[in-house]
Amino acid sequence: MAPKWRSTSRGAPTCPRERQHCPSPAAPDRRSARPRRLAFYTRVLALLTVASVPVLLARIGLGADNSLVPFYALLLVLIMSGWHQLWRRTLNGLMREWGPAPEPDATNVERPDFVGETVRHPVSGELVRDEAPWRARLRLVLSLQGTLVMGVSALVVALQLLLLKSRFYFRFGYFGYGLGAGLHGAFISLSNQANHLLAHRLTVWENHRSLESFEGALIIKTTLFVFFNSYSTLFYIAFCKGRWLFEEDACLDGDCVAELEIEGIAIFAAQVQRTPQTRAALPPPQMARPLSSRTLHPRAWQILIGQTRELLVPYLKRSRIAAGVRQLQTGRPLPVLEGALPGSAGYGTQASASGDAAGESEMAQAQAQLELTEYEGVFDEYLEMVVQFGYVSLFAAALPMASGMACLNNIIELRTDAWKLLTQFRRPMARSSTDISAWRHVLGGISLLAIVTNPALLIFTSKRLPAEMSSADRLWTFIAVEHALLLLKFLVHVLTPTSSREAEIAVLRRERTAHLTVQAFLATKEGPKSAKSWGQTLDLAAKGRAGGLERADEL
Amino acid sequence: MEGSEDNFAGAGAGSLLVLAPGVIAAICIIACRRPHRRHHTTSNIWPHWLRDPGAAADAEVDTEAAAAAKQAEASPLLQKPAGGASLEMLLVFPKDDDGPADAVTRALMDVGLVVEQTSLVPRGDAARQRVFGVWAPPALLERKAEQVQLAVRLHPQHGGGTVPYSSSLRPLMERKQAGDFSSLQRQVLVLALAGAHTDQVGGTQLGTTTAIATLRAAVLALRATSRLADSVPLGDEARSAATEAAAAASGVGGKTTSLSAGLELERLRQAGDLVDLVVLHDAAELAALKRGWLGGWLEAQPLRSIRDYYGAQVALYFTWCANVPA
Repeated sequence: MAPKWRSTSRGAPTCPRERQHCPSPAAPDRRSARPRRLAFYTRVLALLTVASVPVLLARIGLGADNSLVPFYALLLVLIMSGWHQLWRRTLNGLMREWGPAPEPDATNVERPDFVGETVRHPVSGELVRDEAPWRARLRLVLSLQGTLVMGVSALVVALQLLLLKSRFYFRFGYFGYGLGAGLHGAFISLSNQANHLLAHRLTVWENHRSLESFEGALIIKTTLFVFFNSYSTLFYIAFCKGRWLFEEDACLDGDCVAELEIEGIAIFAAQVQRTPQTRAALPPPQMARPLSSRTLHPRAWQILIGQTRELLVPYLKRSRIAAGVRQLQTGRPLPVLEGALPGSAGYGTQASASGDAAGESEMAQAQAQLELTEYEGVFDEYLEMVVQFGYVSLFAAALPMASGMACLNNIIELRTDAWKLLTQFRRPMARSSTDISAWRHVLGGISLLAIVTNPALLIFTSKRLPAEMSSADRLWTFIAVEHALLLLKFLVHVLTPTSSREAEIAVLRRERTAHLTVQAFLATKEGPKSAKSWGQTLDLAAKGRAGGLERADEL
Repeated sequence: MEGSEDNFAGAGAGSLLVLAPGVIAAICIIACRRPHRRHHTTSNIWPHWLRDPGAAADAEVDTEAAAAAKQAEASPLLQKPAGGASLEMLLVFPKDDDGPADAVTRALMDVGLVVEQTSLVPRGDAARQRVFGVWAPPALLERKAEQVQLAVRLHPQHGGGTVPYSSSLRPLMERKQAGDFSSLQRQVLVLALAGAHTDQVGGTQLGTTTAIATLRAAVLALRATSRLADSVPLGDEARSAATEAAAAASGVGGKTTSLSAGLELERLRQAGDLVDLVVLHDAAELAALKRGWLGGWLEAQPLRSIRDYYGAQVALYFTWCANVPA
């Protein structure tokens, strides 16, 4: 029997009495009706790209260090200050629109590695694993010490190597420079691997209970290491080269900004290419992550190669060639039907076929998925974005074109990642999350650092200020500018609302509608039996509502 | 003389300075040492009634129950309907006679999940591994969804809000058919059915072969109901009433079980008792998502669908470096 209130002549289900509380059911959400083309981060980048066009045009006539650069840097710092708030606003809106998730939250999922004593939960009485808090904290402190020691020693060695590189250059000319550069590259590559391994080991040793806290700790450590490695060269050129201890290693023509630009583009381009496939090929998933490395090959065209390879390698691995190689190795063919490969056109189209054929194709698909490697999660993808964010924001005054390159890269990157997730990996177990975890803090830290580095670049490194200005004057100027920017950031932080009131109201209305609809529906289904799973309160509320409903039906 | 004493004192102080932090560090490290892992994992992975999988597998061979189980296996009703329910999960076990495969599959079947051995070829050594497929009868999913109060969306006609699942509210939902869950929901429910208990302390009273036989019969009954419901165009209410009646009669999801096998699959894998665990795709949903997502470089991403298929964590990454309602 259909519920009474659905059989009214109005056709579509109506809200009989409290019509004002029933927002027209299909109340079109204007925002969701007009989806944005670009990503959140990509949109910020696109904005910066537009802003960087006049700067790039001006440099043709006026040189790299032209008078538009400070304005661009100011704009970037402002946007970077605001983006944090913008993201929170975006996230709040999205979380409200999505509603509560069916999948378990990453903060509650216990890691299989977690070691603890079995105790009864003080509130629920369930048996849970637990660890004494002091022990966890002590581990965290010790592990932090280890991280810092590793990071600082990596930094010191990297600086030594940079110095060595310049010494070699003066001693042996270009051969010496190549030798130094090779040493430096080898060190960065090696220390990256060692750091990844160490960070993972330390974080496992910390014995985190939830996936979320484990990831958070790993994120902080990895980014520290990666930052030392990725940005040390640029920091050296910007603030050390040609002064203090490094006077003999002067920039070409004394123009460190130009050198920073060249080096920045080269490193940025090399950073873009990644090697997830080599990691994916490593057998145990637990070991795959720490061995990931971001080797530096300073050539700009590697953006293109990196992306092409990202697309090609996993595809080739699933191709006929791979099947042939596999057959040679194991003596049996890749037991996968051609049409059932997730990557191929026929995938998923036979699902509706009936009888044995459907069962066979289902088994073939299951077999194909059994062969795939596990999805490693979005950790590496985030790391790449974060490093890129650093290049764009920290050295904006010297690298105005970085935002354009990053923007282009991200547009490609997005679909590449999507394609890989859809076809080249097993389906991950769904986890819920309400934020981008510790990455938010990392990004906040970078945008704070950008407030310091950009004025420093313009005041100390650039030749825009008159050369006769004393270093004390420069320092005071720097402090004044940097403090002003910090104040501006604070104002932006305070004045930007983190959620829009309209969105809040829309969601509250939706939830209220859901509540009322359910109550009304349960009330029309006679008897408390159907309503029992909703608990006593809802049952009572439904009884109270029933009278009003019947009257409405009579109208 | 004085000088040498000074030197001695200096050396003592120096060695103390060097040693003291070392001793403190050693004490800290000893204090923080992880308890022996193997011990903990083996004692904690299994539900208390299944602590020793080998012993559990050997124990209590009831001929009557075995016959019932055999009959249940042979029954055509336990065969999957074409185009209907599909495998949700693959489990790869080492092929040992006294291995954990029997215990785990038994625990899963106790809860009402259907576990069937497949002829799939595992990634590792095929001769020494067995691959099992797991799926759940729709009625069991309904029970579990009610128990965990799964968050489900109402139909856009009703405002699209989110409510805790109840089978009686089916007509209001986006998916009106009884037993019709999205791929993500099925994944969550099957993992919850296999997973640790959430509602009862100390596990279930199951684990005997009699209980297995009862549950097997119950599964048959449920499948029969759901098939009946699919073939005969009954009204929503009649259908849910039939399902409820069948479930109540058979006792599945009643108060006797906690609807959780109490297994920690990830820990089993960590300990090596489970070689591999694959959560399977839903071919139709994946194909639809692919069409919407890989359309073009500058197309808007179907964020809602991504979230509804892969979960919020993955969706948030693509949101962040992806598009968002401003």
